[in-house]
Amino acid sequence: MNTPEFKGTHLFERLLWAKENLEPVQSDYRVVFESDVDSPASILVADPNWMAAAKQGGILPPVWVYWLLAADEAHPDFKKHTRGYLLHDTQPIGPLTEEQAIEYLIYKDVPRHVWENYNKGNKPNLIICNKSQLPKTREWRNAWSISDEVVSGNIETVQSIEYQETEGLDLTEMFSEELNRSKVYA
Amino acid sequence: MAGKIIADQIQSTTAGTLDTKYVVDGSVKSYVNFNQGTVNVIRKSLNISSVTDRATGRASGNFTSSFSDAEHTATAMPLYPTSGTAEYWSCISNDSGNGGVDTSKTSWNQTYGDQNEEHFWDSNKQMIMVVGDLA
Repeated sequence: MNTPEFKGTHLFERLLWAKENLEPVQSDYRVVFESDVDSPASILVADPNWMAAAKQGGILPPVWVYWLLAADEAHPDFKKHTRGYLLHDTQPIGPLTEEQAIEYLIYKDVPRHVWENYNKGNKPNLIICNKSQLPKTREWRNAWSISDEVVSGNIETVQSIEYQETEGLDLTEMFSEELNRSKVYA
Repeated sequence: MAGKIIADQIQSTTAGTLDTKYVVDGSVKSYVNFNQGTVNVIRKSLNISSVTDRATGRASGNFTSSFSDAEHTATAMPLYPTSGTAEYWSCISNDSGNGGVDTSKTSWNQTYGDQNEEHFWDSNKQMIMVVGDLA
């Protein structure tokens, strides 16, 4: 099914179209990240409708739009969004592979300080894995962390961001000239 | 988009007239039904890009189409645990229902636990619904 020309259409309307016309995609990928030393590892799951929209293409805005809005929100005088049009009027991105979509989600939904510094410690604080690699029960859930053993060893079973980048998104698409000019995200 | 109807009012044959802004402004803008048990999947949703399992009984969700401000209204409802005997609570809150960050323009935090506010529970069916103005 071809995606209608959605540039200028409210993003919410596009999501309604996607929900009505696209089969949801349940991803087996999970993003595991540690946002601070006092909290257990968080497990991010992609939404099936969102994943279908990402794979379809022509629906979602580039991820930098969310960064600009986040920068607006971080401003101390922020009251409400006045640049919501960025979500609706920016040219939507094309179809993504499932792996690229997960990478997009990391940049959108994982705290920036996590993915920006994911590999600067003595072990990564963010990995992408298959759901089968998560613990089978919720016992000791509040003590979950990224395993030293798994991270240091087998890249075939645990894919890191570093590995993904070789086939991942073209980052130049994700950084707009507007974003680089404004230098508003931190 | 084809098939668009532009109207300011809808008239019923029996129940009077309604401004379409009631429909546009009053509709649910985001919802999600997910399992924070062992399976950890999202069943049904609208306007959600991802859900993050943060710890026992604690989850966060992210919107695809952001809200204009953080003053939207969200409700959270879990399925009562089959082994439950206590009184349970579920709320949009960062931690223990005692405040902290709860909703933002782009996400929400939700917690679920029993009558002891420090006892958190995972539910196999967590349901969140949000109304408000989109950006």
